[in-house]
Amino acid sequence: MSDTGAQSDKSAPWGRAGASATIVCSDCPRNGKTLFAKLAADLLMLRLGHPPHIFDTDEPDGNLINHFSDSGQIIDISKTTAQVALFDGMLAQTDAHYLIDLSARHFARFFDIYRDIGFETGAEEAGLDVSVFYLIDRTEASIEAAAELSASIPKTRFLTVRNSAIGDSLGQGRSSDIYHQMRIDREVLLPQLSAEALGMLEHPDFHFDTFIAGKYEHFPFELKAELWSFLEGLYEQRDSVETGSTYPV
Amino acid sequence: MKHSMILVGADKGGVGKTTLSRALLDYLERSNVLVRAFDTENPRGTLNRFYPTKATIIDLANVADQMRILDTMDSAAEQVTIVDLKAGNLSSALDIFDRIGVLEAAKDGVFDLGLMHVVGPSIASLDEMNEVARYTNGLDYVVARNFINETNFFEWDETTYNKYFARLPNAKEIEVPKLNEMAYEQVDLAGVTFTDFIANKSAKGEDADFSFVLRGYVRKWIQDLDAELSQLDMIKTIMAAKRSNASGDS
Repeated sequence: MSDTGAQSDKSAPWGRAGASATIVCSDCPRNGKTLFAKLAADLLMLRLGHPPHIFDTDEPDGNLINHFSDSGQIIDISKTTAQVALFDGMLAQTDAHYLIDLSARHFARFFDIYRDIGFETGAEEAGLDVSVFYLIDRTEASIEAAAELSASIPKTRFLTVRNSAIGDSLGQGRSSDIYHQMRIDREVLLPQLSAEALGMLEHPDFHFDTFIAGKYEHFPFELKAELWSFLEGLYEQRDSVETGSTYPV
Repeated sequence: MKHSMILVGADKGGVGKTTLSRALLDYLERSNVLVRAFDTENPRGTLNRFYPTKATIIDLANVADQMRILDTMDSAAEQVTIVDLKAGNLSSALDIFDRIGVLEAAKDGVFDLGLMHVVGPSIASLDEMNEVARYTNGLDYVVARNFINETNFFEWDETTYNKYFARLPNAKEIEVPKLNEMAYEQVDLAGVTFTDFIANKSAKGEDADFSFVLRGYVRKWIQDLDAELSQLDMIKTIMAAKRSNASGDS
């Protein structure tokens, strides 16, 4: 994980006390958002001993909820009742941890609501520590959307995720300038995985807590080594954040 | 200080007339303007339900009630009077005011008179504008296009509307934005002002437990509507008078 862009001052510890909300999003579909959401939930599970409460906005399929069937719900964010369940629900608990897998089709609407209802202020008052993880897609438009979002939610911790398996447009056109000028609290680099390792991660029954506990000893050595390496890579990024910033991914 | 009277009306029911009256009362109260209101939804009093101490229920056809509004303007402590006209009674109310000389007095500058004409999404609302036009000379006429309860298809398009609006050379226009339906219902059920709902206060002034999301929707709606109201001449005049009064007092 590396520092980039204009840093904002965020010093509240995450995951140690109080409540937290992790929002995983992107302006485009199919760029590893749900996979990253699963990883974030897995890392939270390793820390907390249980998964966070998950709001999966990919209604009706609920791809993420298939991995954590007892720990959350699928919601249709276009419905006011679901918005109330989500936002009011998060503000009501002072010691709970939430993860929102935000479907790309609800991206714009969700953050319109987020701003319109003044959720940043509400979260601050309730002691809810909110982090937005934005997966950068391949286009300049995706970086522009990230910059726009970051600027529009100045009190919210904003992290970008660069998925090596997807790539991005940072070497092209104005993308690099936009990227380095926007407010980014942290950047997460998601390494590329082999098809076998990716297949494992995407399996609903696979979780890193049971992997660490030795449930998958029968896996081929290379596959286990790759998954260990991947996990260590994420932990290294988490450690750098914990010493310099706030988020343990 | 010259008194201001604002009539809020529509000839068609259910277009959000009382909602606009409530928002207007809220706006003026938040701006520290002393305001009183008359609710002509006799005998039920919709506005009175939200402002029991501020909105008096009257029957506009009753001479004694007409006197309660008009003969007290000079002596009232309040700078502004809002009259929420009964649904379907806009033309007849204007006719009454015309006959007893209210429109003439306003034209002569005895007091400032504004009319907020709430129009809904029907052709009937457009026809109302023609009907009302003959009374609007000398008063500050505002057409409020109401999107708050926009649940059905607008019968008229912008071209048709603009054609009607162009026939009213002195008219100003505001848009009442759409408010989330559940938020609207919850405010209604709670029987509180929009300001109190946002502040999470019950009608008795106690802490309430309203949804953060719904309060947020109302807050945003009020902000958007405030922006519309604040650009109106009638509101600017009221604010200027308040400032002038305050500086005179100090």
